Amino acid sequence: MDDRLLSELGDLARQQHDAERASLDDRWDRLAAGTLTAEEDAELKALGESSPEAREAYEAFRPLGADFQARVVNAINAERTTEAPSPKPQEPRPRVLPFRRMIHRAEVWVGFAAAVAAGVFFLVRGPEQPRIPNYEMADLKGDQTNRGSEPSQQSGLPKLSPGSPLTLTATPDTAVQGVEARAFLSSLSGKRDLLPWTSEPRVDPKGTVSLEGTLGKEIQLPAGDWRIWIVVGRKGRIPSVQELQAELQAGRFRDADWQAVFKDLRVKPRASP
Amino acid sequence: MNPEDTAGLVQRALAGEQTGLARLVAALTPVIQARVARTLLARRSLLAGGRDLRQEVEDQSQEVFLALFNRDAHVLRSWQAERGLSLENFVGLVAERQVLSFLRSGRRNPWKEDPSFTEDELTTATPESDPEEVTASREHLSRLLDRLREELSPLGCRLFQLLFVQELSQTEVQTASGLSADAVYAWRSRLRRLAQKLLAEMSGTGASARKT
Repeated sequence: MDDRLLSELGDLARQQHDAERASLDDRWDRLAAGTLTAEEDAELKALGESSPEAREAYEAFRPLGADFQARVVNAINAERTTEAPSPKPQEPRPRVLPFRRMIHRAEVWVGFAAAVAAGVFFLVRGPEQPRIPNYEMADLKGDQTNRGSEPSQQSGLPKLSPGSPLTLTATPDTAVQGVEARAFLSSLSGKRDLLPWTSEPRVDPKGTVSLEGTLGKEIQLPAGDWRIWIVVGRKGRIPSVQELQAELQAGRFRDADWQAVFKDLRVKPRASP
Repeated sequence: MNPEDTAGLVQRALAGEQTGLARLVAALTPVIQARVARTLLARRSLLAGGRDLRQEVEDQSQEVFLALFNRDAHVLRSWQAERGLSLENFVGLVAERQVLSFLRSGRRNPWKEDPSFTEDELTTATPESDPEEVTASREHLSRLLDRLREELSPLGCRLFQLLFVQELSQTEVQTASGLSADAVYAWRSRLRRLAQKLLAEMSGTGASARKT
């Protein structure tokens, strides 16, 4: 028996591949990967508005995002737990680096607003460790809140000026002891790496975390749009900045031992004399 | 991802390390999403009317991840970089198979069952019909191709691709796949019998092949 049937199938596979690539070129893969150039992104968006089919394609390839990834990790862990009731191997603890030694990293990071905004938290618990309580950040009050005239994704950002008082508070839903907190920041534009912040939060006896001061004095923050992260964790259990960045990029905003919460704000340039 | 990083990441994820798992999921999400989207869009008419495609892409992408990791991650563990198939291509083939199976049978996870015919099934039940005797319409052939992709393991898909889509020589296939001449020959034979078997099944002349 020869291979004519398989050869026919091979021909058809080639034709299908060519037809698919003619209608959905490599740009669509890069859309899913989030690596399109601005120009390409504009092209595909415009294409997506040209017909219902193209709109559907755009939606199909639009990145699933960090919240999806968090759900997947959660589902995989849940399935592993179901398949293997015996305790799974403990994850090695991330190395904890002294906060102050890392403050000179130059890059800034933004991430995954959608996941946090949607309130998606991924919970992983070690078998014997009770997790820390849930923390929430109190609303941030700035000099003013711009609405309407700014781009939609920026609207509502509290705006602060040098000299403005700034108070950030993260409160646990139940009192907790034995926790510490660190502050990080990431730019909402440009490079998006997580950057340890020189301002150090305080933790009161009930576990409430606060960071308080005057912008330009106790609190140093350049002009621009920023995401301020407060990471609360059991003493010695807050991940290193590198580990934390990986966790946040993967859509994980808490573990049994730590939780990351954030607020966005805009710092206005210092007024010219 | 470079191959060494990829292999290391897979090992960390398989060992249950949470950071490794999270990074692997982050790295593979765009690959899986794109393949799921392409497979669904090319067969849009097979998807029930009114179904939200974005939601289906999300659901099927998650199913692909679960397929990779269920039963002690036996599918992911079967990936061997030295066979010439990158992890991205490997999971792409898993994704395609997942979607094809879902579209045909509605099964969310085909991997919970035996993923392919046994050698015995292929050997004993294959009718000796000459392919030229079968007038397969393009649509029929297209369905046969989907069934073949659905039945084949990622390695089988790779061999089909090398042998019959790229039409490489025997030596080139050996080089690309890392398989011996005998192994490539065995795969060629297995592919031939599987295609015949599926064709017979679709034409109603073969025994019901799937253990559904």
